[in-house]
Amino acid sequence: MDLDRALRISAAGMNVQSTRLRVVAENLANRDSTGNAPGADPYRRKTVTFSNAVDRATGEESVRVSRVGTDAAEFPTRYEPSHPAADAQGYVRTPNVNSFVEMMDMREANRSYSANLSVLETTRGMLNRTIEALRG
Amino acid sequence: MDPTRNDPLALAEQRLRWLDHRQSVLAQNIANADTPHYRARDVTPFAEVLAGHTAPALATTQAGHIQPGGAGETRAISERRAAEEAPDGNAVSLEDQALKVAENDTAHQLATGLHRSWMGMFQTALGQR
Repeated sequence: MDLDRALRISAAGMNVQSTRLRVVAENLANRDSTGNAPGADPYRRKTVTFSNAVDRATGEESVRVSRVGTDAAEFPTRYEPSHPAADAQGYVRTPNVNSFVEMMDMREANRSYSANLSVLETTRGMLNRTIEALRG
Repeated sequence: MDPTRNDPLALAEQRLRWLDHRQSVLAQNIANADTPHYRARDVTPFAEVLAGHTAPALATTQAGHIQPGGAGETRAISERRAAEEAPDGNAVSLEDQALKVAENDTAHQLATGLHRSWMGMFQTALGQR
């Protein structure tokens, strides 16, 4: 039934948005995770991309996380010779996480999540009304 | 002319089926609001479905052919002209879609209301109320 499909699709939409929020949380939590040996790589920012996928069993199109990748941006450096991860010149490479970018991503995920949730509520209302009509 | 096609109940049923289908297409658009290169879709307008202006069904000339969906089935079509397109190629406007969902909800309310009042008339005629 199409309304059931709509419910499932909205749920899938909420699912991918929560994965995105999880990745944002990981990035923010690791904002200061540097390496602990000289020249070691610090935490690399993760990115998440979505794709429109067809479920082969039911034939319905929905959304899924296509890949959790990494951000290839340069690591910013900071001069701190006493740090355990400092290189020979005394520079420490820090994670390429920008808290403003993460914050924007979080807001957007939140907005998309709410949109999916409101569609879910509307669909549920439609379903209830249909059942009500059956009751006569 | 087939008299059953003009029956308000049959019309309400057809409308409800169309609305159900549209709801799932809109849900898909909103779920894909952040998918790169995804374009919003919509179904054939109801007036056109009613007039029978749907895509012709595929002919099956051999037993092994895939059976097409029911005749007059609504099909999702990608919107050609998008109001806005994100740098990643996504062209879903959440506001537009929210508006359509609200529209769909109201239309569904109307159709179920029609169904209910028509059934009520039957019940009155049968003396059950």
